[in-house]
Amino acid sequence: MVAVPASPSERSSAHLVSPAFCQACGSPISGELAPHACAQCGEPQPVQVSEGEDFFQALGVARSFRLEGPALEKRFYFLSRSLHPDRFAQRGPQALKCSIERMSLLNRAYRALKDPLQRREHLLELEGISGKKTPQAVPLDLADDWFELQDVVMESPESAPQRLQEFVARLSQLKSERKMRVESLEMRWEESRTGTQSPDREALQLLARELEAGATLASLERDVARLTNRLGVTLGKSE
Amino acid sequence: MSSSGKSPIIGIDLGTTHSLVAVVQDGVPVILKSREGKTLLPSVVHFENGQAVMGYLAKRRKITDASNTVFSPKRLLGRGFEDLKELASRLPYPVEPGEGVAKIRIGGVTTTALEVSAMILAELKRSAEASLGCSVQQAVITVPAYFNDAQRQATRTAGRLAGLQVLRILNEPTAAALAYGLDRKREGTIAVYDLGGGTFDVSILKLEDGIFEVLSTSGNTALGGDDLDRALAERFAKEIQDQTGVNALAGQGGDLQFWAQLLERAEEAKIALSSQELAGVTIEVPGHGEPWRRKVSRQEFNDLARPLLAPTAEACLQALQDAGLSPDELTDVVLVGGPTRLAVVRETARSIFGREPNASVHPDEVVALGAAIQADILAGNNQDLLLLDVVPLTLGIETYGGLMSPLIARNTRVPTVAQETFTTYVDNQTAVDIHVLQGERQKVEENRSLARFKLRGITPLPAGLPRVQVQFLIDADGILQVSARDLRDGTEQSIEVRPSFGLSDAEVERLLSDGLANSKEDENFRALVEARADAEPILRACERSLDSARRLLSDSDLQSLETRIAALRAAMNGTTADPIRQEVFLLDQASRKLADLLVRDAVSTDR
Repeated sequence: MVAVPASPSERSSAHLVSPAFCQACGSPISGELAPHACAQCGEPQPVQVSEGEDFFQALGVARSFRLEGPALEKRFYFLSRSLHPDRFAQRGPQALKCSIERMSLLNRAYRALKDPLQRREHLLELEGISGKKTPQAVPLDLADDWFELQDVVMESPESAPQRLQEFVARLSQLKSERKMRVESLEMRWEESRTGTQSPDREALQLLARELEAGATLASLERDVARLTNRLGVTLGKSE
Repeated sequence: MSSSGKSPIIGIDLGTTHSLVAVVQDGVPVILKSREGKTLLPSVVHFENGQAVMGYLAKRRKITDASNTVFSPKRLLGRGFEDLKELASRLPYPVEPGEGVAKIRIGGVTTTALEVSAMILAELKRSAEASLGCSVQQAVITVPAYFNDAQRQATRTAGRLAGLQVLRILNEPTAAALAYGLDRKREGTIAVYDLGGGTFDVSILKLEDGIFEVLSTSGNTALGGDDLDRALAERFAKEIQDQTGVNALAGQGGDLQFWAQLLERAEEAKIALSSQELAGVTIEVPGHGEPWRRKVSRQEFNDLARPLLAPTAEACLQALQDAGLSPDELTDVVLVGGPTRLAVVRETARSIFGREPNASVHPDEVVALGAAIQADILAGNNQDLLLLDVVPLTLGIETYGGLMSPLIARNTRVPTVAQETFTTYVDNQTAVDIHVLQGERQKVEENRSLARFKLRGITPLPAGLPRVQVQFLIDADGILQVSARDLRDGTEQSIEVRPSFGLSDAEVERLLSDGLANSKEDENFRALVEARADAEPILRACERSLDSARRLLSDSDLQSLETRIAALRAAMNGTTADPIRQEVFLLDQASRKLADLLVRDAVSTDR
């Protein structure tokens, strides 16, 4: 896995849109807690509407598909320690209100980035790639097999378990192929950003398509699970 | 705490059967004793001529005067009458429908579970003030993690009625984890299996470097140790009915007083069985000379309890699944709550998690201790620890077709915010109704209705053009706050909130002003009731031995004894405590001689 946290300089220069001065003491907002709180007096700052849009920015980590769980958690814990409303129970209504807003934003951001799938979707959205086409019910390369399997279940139930087993194997193969494609596309984009040329947008568009395919596979997997249950077949765990 | 000179913040465990108060002193959480000198305050209030009696005194009245004694008010808190019908039919005190909340009509007064809870909280506040020697204004109060918004709101309102500023509504298993983790400096992932008197919670937490992060929580707010008592009492009642024809079954026209006694005997047997293999039950059956007797083996009790405990397994598996963990990934399983002393409960926890649960924490005290630690954190005295908690139930709104549309998923970290934009269906519509729900089901009626909101003052426009953004905020207490903004001009929108259950603001205000006026009167009354209760046993003992006295005492001694008995009786009918105390003292003096003679008499007849 590739390393995560953005350097403090990248954080402050790239994303800062919040007011530059603390609402309580007037000090410039900078340092580890920016843009959330004042480094001088600890006062949490009001959340700007635009801040809610970029979860990577909110948590102060680099925009990347490949965040390391423990590093992300460490960052979240660090910010929580300073911004949680429990720290402002006795600090007056304004500070408490801002800390609740700040912590709500951080909670939302952490929940989204912790999950690889949601993180991927969020990043694509930030990059202006929308993959909002209705997913197909069945992936094309499996469609024939799937309908045939349905027929077998109806007409010759005795051979259904065997066919189901084969179908599940095929499904899990497709899944792992797709996973590898996703990883390599993610790499492609990440690497393109380190160079001097403009980032590889084609990789992102291909990724968006892979995401749709992933959703289709997931829904097919649920159908298969239902069928498996109905037939009372015990299969070796796929994956 | 005292070093900073600030008024201390107390931690309160408002339990179904017992409540406790604790505070952090010199960095260590300690339980504060009640005014009866006990660590536990029974969550029972007895009403006598419209006045409230607290503590173990009230608990004793639960057996002798069941219809005037409210126990386990937590089971009713924040719930409407419809929701309580079944439970209410089995309670020895009458519960009736009321506006928003169920009413309890008792001892000449009409009250609510919320007000009874407030009395218990006020008693704990007084206990804390008495033992700390200073006034207390702020508190952290614990609730079952699986409590919904209405139940949390009701708890907070009860605190307010008790004269407390409630700084935090804290989840009980989280509080327990805090006390457990702090005490043992543990790290890792733990499950807290918390079976209380009336509720069950399970929470999975990650403990790391002073951060207590709740990964998931689940539970059942209508399952607890009380249910085991009731199952045992029902078995007794059926047998008694078969054998004697006396009906004790509450809800089926049975004798409520007798039912309350059966519950008490069942509870005693249950407690005895946590350390013994066999418990004996003896109870006087009304209208029958011979008491009814029976033995209960641990085996029999366990067989009865096991199916009742089965739902705890579902909740635990749900919590594990939501946390994405298997039981072997846990570092420890911590047992909390009085009923976890029972072998059958431990056995249940063991089989769910596939490991020996840790029973090293004090199951009654750990929640209150955790609440005190959280109070210390909120006071700003402890920067090393931090709790990150979650919302236990999915929050959503009613959409077209009677379905619930989720806005905030269960196990989302709090505080959290969700936004939803609303528009109009007909031209020139100026108001929109919003129905807020909590629960995991698809259909509206299978979830809990939290509140109905009316968005008013929408600019009259063609249908679909207005854009009102409603923000649903769940704060760190797990309580919902709603605000709305017109997206076209950015103005704040007015919202009319009608909670589905609970008291209106006006009712709360009225209760608050009543409460202040009555507090002095309460004090005097408490003293009176205590004095009467202390007098009763000595009076009864003397009256019982009058026959022997006629045989043993001289006429003049006998007469003075009879005079003192009559005087005490008279004093007990009065309205102040002091004359009773004085007469008790005098009767005690007057009966000394008799007591000596009785002892000597007994010894000589023995020989």
